[in-house]
Amino acid sequence: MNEAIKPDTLLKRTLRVLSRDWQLYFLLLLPLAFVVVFKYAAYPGLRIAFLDYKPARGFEGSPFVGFDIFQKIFKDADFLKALRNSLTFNFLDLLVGFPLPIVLAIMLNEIRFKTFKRVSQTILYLPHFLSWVIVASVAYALFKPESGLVNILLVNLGFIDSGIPFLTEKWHWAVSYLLIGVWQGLGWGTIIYLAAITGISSELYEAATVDGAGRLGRIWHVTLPGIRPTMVTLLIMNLGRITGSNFERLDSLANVQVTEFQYQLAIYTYQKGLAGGNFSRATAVGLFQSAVGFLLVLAADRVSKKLGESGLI
Amino acid sequence: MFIRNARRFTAFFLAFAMLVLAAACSTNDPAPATAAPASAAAATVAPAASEPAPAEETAAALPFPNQPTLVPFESRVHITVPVYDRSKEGYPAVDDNYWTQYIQKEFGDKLNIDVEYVAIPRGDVMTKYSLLIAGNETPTIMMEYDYPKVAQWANDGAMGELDLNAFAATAPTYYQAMVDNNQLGYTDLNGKTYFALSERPYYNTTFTYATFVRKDWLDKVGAGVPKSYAEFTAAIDAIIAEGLTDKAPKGIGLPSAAYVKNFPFRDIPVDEKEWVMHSSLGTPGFSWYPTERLLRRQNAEFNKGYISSEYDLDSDTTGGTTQIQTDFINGKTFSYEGYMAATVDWLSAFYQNNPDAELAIASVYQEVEPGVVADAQIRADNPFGMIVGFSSKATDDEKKAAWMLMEWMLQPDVLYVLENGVEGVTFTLGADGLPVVDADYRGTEMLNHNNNIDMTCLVHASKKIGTIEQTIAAIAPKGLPQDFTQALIDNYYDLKAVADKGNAYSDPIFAVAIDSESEYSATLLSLWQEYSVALTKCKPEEFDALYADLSKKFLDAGYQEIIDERLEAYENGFTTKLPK
Repeated sequence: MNEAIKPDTLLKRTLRVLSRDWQLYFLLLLPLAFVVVFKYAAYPGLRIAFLDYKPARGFEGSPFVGFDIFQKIFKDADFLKALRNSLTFNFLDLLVGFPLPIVLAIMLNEIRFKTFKRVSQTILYLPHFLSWVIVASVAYALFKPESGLVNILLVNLGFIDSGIPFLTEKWHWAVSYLLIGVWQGLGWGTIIYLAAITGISSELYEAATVDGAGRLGRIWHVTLPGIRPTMVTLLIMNLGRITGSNFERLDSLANVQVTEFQYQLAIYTYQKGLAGGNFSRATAVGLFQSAVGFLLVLAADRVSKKLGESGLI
Repeated sequence: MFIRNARRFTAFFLAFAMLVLAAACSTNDPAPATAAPASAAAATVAPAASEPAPAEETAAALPFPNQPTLVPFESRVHITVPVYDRSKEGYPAVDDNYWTQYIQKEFGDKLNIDVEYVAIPRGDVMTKYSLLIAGNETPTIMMEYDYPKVAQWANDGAMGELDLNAFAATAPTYYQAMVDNNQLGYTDLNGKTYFALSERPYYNTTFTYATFVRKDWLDKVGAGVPKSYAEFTAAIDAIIAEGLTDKAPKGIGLPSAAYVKNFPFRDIPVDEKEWVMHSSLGTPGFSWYPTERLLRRQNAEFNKGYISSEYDLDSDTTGGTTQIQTDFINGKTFSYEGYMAATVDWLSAFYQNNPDAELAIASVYQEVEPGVVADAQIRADNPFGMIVGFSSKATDDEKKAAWMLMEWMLQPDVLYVLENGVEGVTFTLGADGLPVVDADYRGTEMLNHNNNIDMTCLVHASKKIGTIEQTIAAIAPKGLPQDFTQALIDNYYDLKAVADKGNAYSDPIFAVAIDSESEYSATLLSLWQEYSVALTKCKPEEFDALYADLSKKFLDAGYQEIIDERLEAYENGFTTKLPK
């Protein structure tokens, strides 16, 4: 009798699947526990955003204040500045940082000299493993206006008269901040695309070659369409982080002359939340960021489905 | 078949390893309140819980016969005590070292108490405390030098009320010292008692803090130690002209705290209302005229090349080694200042790097400039050192154990050991019978920062021995090519002369919590850092407009609310007054 049409109960089928691949499900236990403990178990703590919470008084002793904290935040000029900066810089990060790994992945894929490819790939993704504190220390050593190595070199070569304030003037800082971010994340970002490219059938490339497609033609008609689902998935996920904020990166690259741009939500949350002992405010900002990110992911998913992609959800 | 089995085995092994890892991680949970700290494990075994009850004990049977209030607990009590972590290289961990173990052994184990020290980053005290409080790990003892900080803890409920009678019964010596030092007027907030206060010897002279200048440079340019601002600028101009350093000679750093050194720039006598509104360690007094005068001078100095154009980038606001300190040690800058102790690491390092250099202690009159600074003025310290409170979560036994620690530590023989170490190892006795601490000793028994001051601050803010001359002799740096004892004594008398003229006073202390200060102080400190740099670095002709603009922004960012609230407290009689 055909196995597929044999009547079976859901329980039996589930048990059979479980017993067949039990090792995989066993491996899944820990990641699931991680998500439950560190993501869902923290949810009850979100009520802090609706309480005038003082740690010493606890949840029960802190009065419920409804949306007062949110109202206070939205009236706070500092929050609006932080939100504006976060949105702007995250958008620019996306604009600059999203396409470049794709371009780099394609370039790496086209390299035929394997040793060179492997070495380049390693060098490119090594910065990802450096913490922001180290990246920023090196950046300051290189780009300080007077004692930075780059400026000393440029002045000594006669290209400039005085140091360029790469990190000490807000517009220069903005460019440096974005480019340093791209440099740090670029190589790592290519890994996913390279994996996606590897999954494209070589027959498609052969067929394209037979049809007369050159190297650029193959990239345009085979590689890019082949990694489009990956691109859409990553784009949707990145949109979810558009209100996010990387404290480590912002704090490491901070200095008082660029606060106008560097003051983003992570700094706001740290300064007015943690350092000021105002956990309600910190939680409310975090909740707001998550809610906006979630809505953006849903919207982007809906749009991508309308455009014929499979979406994320 | 083999491959399939190998895969299964690998999968099983990986899953097992992950589970073991998870189990291992789960053991990192905070230890229950009754668990012994790691340091206690190395100490001697505690007295058994079946020891005689206190009432049955005779004084002779007590561990400290001269201190009959220190009676061992029947069951183990665990207390946590904060200690500053200054991120200093070459020093042992502040929360687990020879001296924390010594306290456990000599005090804790004899009284059945586990004493656990908790490291508090010196540059980020409030955040660390916030996290401890939020994590239900509020230290049994909560202490700080600044009133606004302890007021915030008391106001938020993290710090519990203090029964002074019970405190006096357990810590009679400590309480009597508070009475003798006229400190009982500072124990309350909002009409409730919260604080015990440690002693600050000779508090109106700041004699433990000194500014050192390059005497050899002054000699080379034919100048003496400046006693007015005109002499100071003449000396600096000459030093620059002579090319004695390739760096800007005046080392200043990004402000790391709310304290603005604007005392010399205040009119004499200062207006009491303005003093109440602006003179504070909680929030920088920006938008007040003395701060404007200070910044204007700093701006002029910056534009004359006295100050590095990168000074704000080189600063470390975490309390660790700063670039200004490094520059001074490397012989690049004119002056540097700090607290004095038998061991001052930056002075030792300075002489190692500059064996031919000579230093002098700067005059307190160095700031005086007709029309700007009428006469020398100094910020006297508070008439107390640490403001000590106790967690609202602490049990009666835990509070009592904390009080016992304070009482024990205040005893002269205990302080002598904690501040000097082990005779023949960390110190020797000088001809005058006073201990001479070996500044270079790096063995197990080495004293932590400033002769363990971050532990002994629980009972006093600095070492005190006999007369002021003897006290200064004890805290004067040892083992250097130059002896500064007499210079520090002279400095003390210069400061005392200023104080005797009525030009030494501290900040107001509020008997009510200033709520807006808790709300805005972190933001305003950040703005002060930003604005002070902008005003220091701008062109002189831009200063006035920029100052007006930034002052308004600062007031709008919350400072106006703070000064209004302070003024209200003053008018309602809830503040200290200026000394008459």
